[in-house]
Amino acid sequence: MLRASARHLDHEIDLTGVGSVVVDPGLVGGAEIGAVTEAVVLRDEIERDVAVQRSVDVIGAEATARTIAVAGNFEMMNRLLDAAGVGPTVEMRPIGDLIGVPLPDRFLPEG
Amino acid sequence: MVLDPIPGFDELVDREWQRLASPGATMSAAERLRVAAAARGDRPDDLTPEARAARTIHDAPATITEDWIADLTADGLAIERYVEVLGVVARLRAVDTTTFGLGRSRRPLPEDVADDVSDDAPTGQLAVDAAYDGAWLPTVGPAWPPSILSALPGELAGMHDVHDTLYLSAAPGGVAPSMAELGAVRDGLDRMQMEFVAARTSLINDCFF
Repeated sequence: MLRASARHLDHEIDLTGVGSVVVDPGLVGGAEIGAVTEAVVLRDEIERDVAVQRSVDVIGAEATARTIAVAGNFEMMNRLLDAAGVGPTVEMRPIGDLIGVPLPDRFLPEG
Repeated sequence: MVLDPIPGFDELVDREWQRLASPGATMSAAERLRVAAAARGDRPDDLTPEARAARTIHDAPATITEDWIADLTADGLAIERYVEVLGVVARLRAVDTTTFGLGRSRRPLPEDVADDVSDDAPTGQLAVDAAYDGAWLPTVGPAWPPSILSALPGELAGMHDVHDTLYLSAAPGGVAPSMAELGAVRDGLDRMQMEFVAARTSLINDCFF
């Protein structure tokens, strides 16, 4: 969906920025949004306070609150998918290489 | 630093707590609250299959396998109850993560504060046409993110409530912009930024859908 939305908006992004914190994905506030997401999902209280403040400085308080909410939503969706055994479709499998994180063996075809 | 929440978040948490304090399709309110407490790590000695499922779904969902679910069902957890545990825990995780991110304290579960917890029996409301179709649990139609909880309509409705409030509506016509709107913006966060958050969250959780 990141790639689709970027294409829709005719915006150039670097998908490897999803998998690597040292790669700028080419989004406004990308580094700050990524840091907030990591701190929140990992429940890191110290990092959260720093990351949230920096994010507020760059994208504002309302957008930072929405960043946190979207992370919360995908905490839910990740659990639904993994607990139901719904993994990437065949068409989705190359996305791992695109973001610089190869798919784990459990998602690859047997043999 | 404590942030003001997104519009509708406090009301969402009120609704979720009401869902927790009400019977579901297969579990009483008291059972749902025990599942929620186990997910939060508050019942470490509870070795029921419901509690074990709750802890793993909450803390290590990427480790779940079909064999692990089969072990739970062999221990007496009917698959429909597993679906209900999944709905309760996944939504709780969404609310707790958002609450943490905003810099707020975790809200106590309803039983902790002696709220109105229903004594009613489970509703028994199951989708009669649910079947195994691409997942380890029954769904109405092919298994896909919007259908994972569809065997239990009440759990599915709760999922959509959280999804609409925190992110986007799964289908057009809802109260929020829909996922089909690739140019959607909410509270100043554009769709690309939202999808970056989604991708990074999934990577941290080892979820590759």
